[in-house]
Amino acid sequence: MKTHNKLMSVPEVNALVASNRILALAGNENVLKQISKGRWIGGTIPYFMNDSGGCMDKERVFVTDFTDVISDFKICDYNTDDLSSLTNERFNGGFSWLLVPGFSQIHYKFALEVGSYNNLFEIPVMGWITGIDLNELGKNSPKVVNGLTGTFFENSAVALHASLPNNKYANLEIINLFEQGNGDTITFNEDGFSARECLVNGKTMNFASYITQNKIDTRLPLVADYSGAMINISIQSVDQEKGVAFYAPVLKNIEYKIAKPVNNYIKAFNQVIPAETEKVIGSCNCILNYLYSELEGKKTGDLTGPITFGEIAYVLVNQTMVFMTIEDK
Amino acid sequence: MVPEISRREWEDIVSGKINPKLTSLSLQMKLNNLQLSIRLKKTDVKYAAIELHSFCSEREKMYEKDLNMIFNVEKV
Repeated sequence: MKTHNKLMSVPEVNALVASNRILALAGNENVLKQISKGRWIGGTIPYFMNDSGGCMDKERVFVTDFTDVISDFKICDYNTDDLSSLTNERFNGGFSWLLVPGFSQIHYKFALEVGSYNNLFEIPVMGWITGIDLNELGKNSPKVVNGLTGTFFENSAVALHASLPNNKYANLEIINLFEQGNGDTITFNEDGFSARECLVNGKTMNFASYITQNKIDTRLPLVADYSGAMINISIQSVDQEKGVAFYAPVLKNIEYKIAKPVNNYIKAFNQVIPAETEKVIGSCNCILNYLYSELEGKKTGDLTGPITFGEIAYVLVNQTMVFMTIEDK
Repeated sequence: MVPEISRREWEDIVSGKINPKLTSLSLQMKLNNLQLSIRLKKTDVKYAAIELHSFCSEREKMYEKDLNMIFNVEKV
C-alpha cells in the first residue's frame, strides 16, 4: 500500500481523474485550471520537492494519490463562518488533508482559532497553505480548488476527509530542524500575526527594536516547546513603526525563544529523516526552508511534496516538514 | 494495555511534575493543550489526567513507545 507522490503532466493527471482516482493536487493556477472535474482537491503553488530535488515548475502538477490507501472519502469546502466544523466532519480513525489559501482572511482565522476546534488532536489534520510564484506577490492570489465542482476559492478552505481500513491508522509527524536557543524567553500579550511589543524575560520591550539591537538573524524562527514538539513561528518582516510581522501567529500564554542556527540543512535533515519512507502517504515542506537552505536541485531524502507557504500539522507551523504515514494497528 | 487511571504518573505528567521526552506529535500537542488549560484554570489536574488517559486508551498502539517511557523505563 503506497501512494504516489510526484510531478505529472496535465494529460497524465487528467487520465488519473478520468479513472476516478482520489487525489490531492498541487500546481500553478494555470495548470490546475486544465484539470477535469473529479475526485480531487487542489492548491496553488509552483514550488516542489520532486524525486530529482527541489524545483519550480509551472507546467506539471504534483499528485498525491490516496486511492489505494483509503476506504472512503468526502470533499468539503469551508468559509470563514463554518471552518470550525471541519474537525466534526472527519472520519473516526481516518485523516483529513486540508488546503487553505495563503494571505486570505480564512488563513488568518484558521491559524488563530484552530487550537480551540473540537477534538483537534484526535484525528490527524495535515495540509498546507497555498501560494504563488514569489515574483507574483501582490499581483496574483493563492487559491484552493474543490475538484468535484471545479471551483477555485481565494477565501475558502477545502478538505479531503478520508477514512481508513479498520486495521490501519494515520500518524502525522513533523521534521523540524530548529530547536529553542539558549537566549531570552519571549512572550506576547496578544495572539496575532504581528506584534509591536513583547515581553523579554518578563520585561516589556518593542519587539522590532529588540530584534535590531540584538542583531537577530530573522531567518531563524521563534520556537515554542509544545511538550517536546518544537513549533516554529517565522518572522516575515521587521519594521520599527509597524512592528514585527509573522508567517504564523504568536499566541499569548506561549513562551518562545529564538532558534539555534542550523548550519547545513540538507546534512541535518538527512540525519533525522525516517529510515522507512514506504509508509509515507504525503509530505510538504516550507518555502522558507527552500529559500534559506537553497533547496533548489537538492533532495530531502525520499520525501517529496509541495513547497508551501505554511504547513498544517493540526495547527499552522512554519519552516517545518510535515508528513503522514499509514500504520498497522 | 494502557496503565490504570489510578497510576500517579497520569497526574504527574499533566501537572508537569514529570517531563518525559515524548516522541508522538499528537500526544505532545494534546499534552501541551491540557497543560495550558490547567495553567489558565480551564480544567484541573485530575480532570486533565482522566482526559489524557482516555485519549491514550483510544490510541494504545500509536502511543505504546511513549507510554512505556512514561510508566516503565525512563523519566527525564
